[in-house]
Amino acid sequence: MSLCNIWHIARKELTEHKFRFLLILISIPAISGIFLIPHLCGNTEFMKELVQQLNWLYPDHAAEIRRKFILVDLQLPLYVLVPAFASPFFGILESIIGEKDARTLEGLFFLPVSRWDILFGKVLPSMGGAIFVSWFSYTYHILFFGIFIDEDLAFHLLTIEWMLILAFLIPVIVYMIGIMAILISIIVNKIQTAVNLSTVILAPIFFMLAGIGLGYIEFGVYNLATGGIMILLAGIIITFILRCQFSIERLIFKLND
Amino acid sequence: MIKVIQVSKKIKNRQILHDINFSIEKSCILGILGENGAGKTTLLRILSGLVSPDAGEILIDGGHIRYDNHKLRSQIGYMPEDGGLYKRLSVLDNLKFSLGFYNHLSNPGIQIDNYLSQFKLKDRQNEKIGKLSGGMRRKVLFLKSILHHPALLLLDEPFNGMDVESKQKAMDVIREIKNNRGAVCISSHSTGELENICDAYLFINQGRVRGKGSIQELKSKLAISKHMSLASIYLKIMGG
Repeated sequence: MSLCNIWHIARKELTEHKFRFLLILISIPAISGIFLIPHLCGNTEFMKELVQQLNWLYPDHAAEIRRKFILVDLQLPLYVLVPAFASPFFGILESIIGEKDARTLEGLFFLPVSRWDILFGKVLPSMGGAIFVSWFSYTYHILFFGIFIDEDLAFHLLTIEWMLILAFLIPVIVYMIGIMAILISIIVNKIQTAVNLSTVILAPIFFMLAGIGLGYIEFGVYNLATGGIMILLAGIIITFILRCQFSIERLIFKLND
Repeated sequence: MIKVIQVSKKIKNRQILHDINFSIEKSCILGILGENGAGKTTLLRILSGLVSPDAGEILIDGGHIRYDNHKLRSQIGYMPEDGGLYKRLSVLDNLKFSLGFYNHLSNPGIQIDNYLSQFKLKDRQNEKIGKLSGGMRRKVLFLKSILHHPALLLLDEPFNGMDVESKQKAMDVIREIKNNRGAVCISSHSTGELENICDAYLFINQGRVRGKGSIQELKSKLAISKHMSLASIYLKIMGG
């Protein structure tokens, strides 16, 4: 495995699909930002109403600001995690199945590079993009909540849990999603079939995220770290399985019947 | 230089190659002839190390292609029959991407420039591959396979769609590789393209070698007139 070769392949991916990467980097945070527009358009009233309702539901709970914190905790995971999870999957699918369609994989596999180089060269740009998107969304929301709703909310989000999510959990999950996308690309030859199959696979992840967003799944340093390590181990095992399957014969010629 | 020993390959329960045996020496251009679906492309893919044979061995300069694949591939140039170029990248970016993995070259930029000028692609070097004609793409693909000065060049139907001038230029480059003690394998279903360039021929039909040797050897083996063309030899061997 050579870092130089991985970077060379990743740079080719970035040049070849620059518009797709730009679209992901610009559109996904922008789309998640649309959800914030109601707050900008006087919807802080809505927040206040919700806070009052929460106060009514839990009358003996703490002060109003704590209710705001709860609302932020409910919303932020969806804004930060969904774009990070959604962006690499389809990028990698298109990158590999697109090469199958254009019959360029044969030339790529012929180059004097190892399969590891090709594998990581394909995953790296989408992974980098997804991590950037999640960090961007996080910063953007901290600034938004801090400026437009309550400055205490911004400090409320600067927690060790969020740092763990951004620095460890998201890269690990994004990597896992990336290699799952490569596995699907090996099995499937048509982009539409791959997208349909991916939707079925992604659906449980979205439900999990919705669960986090609705507050059913509790964060916590221990839970996050354990979850992250388990995903990382699973990712390593799947990578080794994938490495055996990631051959030109499997990808194009399907010779192993 | 290359020894192909008892190579067989099955694809989807169909036997594509049966016990193929032949060898190519340095400074030799071998023409692989056969009708469509004869197994020429599979044979070239096996020689390039892209596909593993089910049985048999390929030795290149004594190295085993199955075990020394990575090392040997840096000495091989391969031009596939189709595809092979990124349509969204420019001519120059395609060539630079491919050349970037070969570290032994000095001044790769100057070499790319020289070849682009020779093949009249210099003024179109920044155009996307998707905008080029089929013949131009073949020229770029040909350049991609020779830029790193391979010791073994494998060409799958290289002249398809090339104009006469480019075809002549490509033949000159192939002869240059031969003169530098390189070996070249060219597959084609057309005898006309190979007649003036190859030193030896391999005739394949339904995955089996039907004949091999230089044109003189083949003529004496088949006991036919020395004035007969390669096409006549082809028809005689293939039973046409």
